[in-house]
Amino acid sequence: MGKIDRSFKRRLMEEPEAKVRLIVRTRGEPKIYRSLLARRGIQVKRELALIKALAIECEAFSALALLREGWVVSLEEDREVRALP
Amino acid sequence: MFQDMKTKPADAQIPIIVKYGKFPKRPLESLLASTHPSRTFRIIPAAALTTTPKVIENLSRDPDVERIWPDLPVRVCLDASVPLIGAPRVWEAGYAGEGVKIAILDTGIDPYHPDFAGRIVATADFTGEGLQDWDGHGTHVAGIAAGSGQASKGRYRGLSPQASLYIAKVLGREGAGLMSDVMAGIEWAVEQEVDIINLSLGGDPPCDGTDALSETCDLAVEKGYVVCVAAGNGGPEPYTIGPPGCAKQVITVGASTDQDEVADFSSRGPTADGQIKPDIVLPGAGIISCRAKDTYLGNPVGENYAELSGSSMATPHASGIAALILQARPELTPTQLKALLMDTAIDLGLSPNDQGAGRADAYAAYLEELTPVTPSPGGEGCLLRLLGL
Repeated sequence: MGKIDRSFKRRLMEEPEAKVRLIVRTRGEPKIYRSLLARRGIQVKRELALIKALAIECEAFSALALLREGWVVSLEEDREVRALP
Repeated sequence: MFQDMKTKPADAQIPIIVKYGKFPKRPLESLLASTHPSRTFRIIPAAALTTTPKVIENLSRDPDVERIWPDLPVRVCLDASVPLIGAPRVWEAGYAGEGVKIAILDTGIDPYHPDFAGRIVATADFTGEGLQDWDGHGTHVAGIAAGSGQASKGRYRGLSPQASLYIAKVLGREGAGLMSDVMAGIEWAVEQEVDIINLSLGGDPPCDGTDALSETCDLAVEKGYVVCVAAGNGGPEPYTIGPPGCAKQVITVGASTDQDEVADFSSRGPTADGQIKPDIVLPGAGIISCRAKDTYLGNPVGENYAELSGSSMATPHASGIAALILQARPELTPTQLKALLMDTAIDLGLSPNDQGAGRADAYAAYLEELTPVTPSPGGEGCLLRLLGL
């Protein structure tokens, strides 16, 4: 996988105003990017230290802009998981 | 039974068990030859057969026949699935999970259920709803892994009734959450230094093990934590395992039945990147375990228990076995434990992408001499063992 799955990128481009939940993997410690993201109006929901990532919520166009950042390793949808009874 | 039969069509096929007063002089097979018994028994003078209402009526008039019962389908309660996989024999050897820490990442727990009394060590809520299990799933799962059976006088005892429980609520009252909530729960479990992490949850396929949740699971395994994950309920079609069941190093668990068949609903491999999954199967059909207060998930069995099916129910069987084995052999790494469960599983004669290595067995794993396992970093060691290479 590159920085983003192609079909997911297409979805973001089709609805740039849509609110999306994402997992952003970062180069280096994720906490150092919190304030940078906050300044852009991106809400950081969780810091995930084990794989160096942040769970964020923002508009699709903001997510697409992150792809140009050198410190962003990858972007993926924060997908739903369910109990399996 | 005979009242019911009056409403059945004449050609209806009804499964019954016929019991004679004593063993007849002629063998039962020959005595009942015209009815084609599917099974005769040696301990009691009885036979199982499927036949029409007319034949049943004739049998009921036979003075040598003492009783006729309907041959009812059997549910796999914990009181059946736990012995099926050999856990009581491991308990008899002195191992019931004492000192082993199991983290259940799920819909929370009913902390007042008698079967967990005094054994919930730590809790965390990642949903904002509070710890209470409003869904019922997490309580049921915890009961399978480590319920004491106190409220059922031991009948519905879980696999590791002396293990310590660490509960992270990562799924909300609808039984759903986000991957990042589960990842946060895994980080919490790692901070708590648990031994085993149970994930009876999953997302939609396809998946190739490179998503954030699957990689978090694999990292936890590399750090020394056993991670047991549900295969999913998307079977019987192939490529139905979703994240994190496609993580390479976790133990991915499919569901089997009381007949040691793979349940139709149990998700099948391979994964999108061609890995053979699940790794093992364990009972997951019609399991009776703990019921959270004021919940109605599945079929309630009295106030304290409920019956549920799913790969969610199979997964804590694996976590419970892992706790028994880790108590007996604390030096085992997660990779060695996974290889042990796979090597000692009972081959059900099905495709590896249906059954994995087969149905795991607690006692067989306990007895197995530990042979050194040197897996490659991607976990292919287990795969090569499975393929016999």
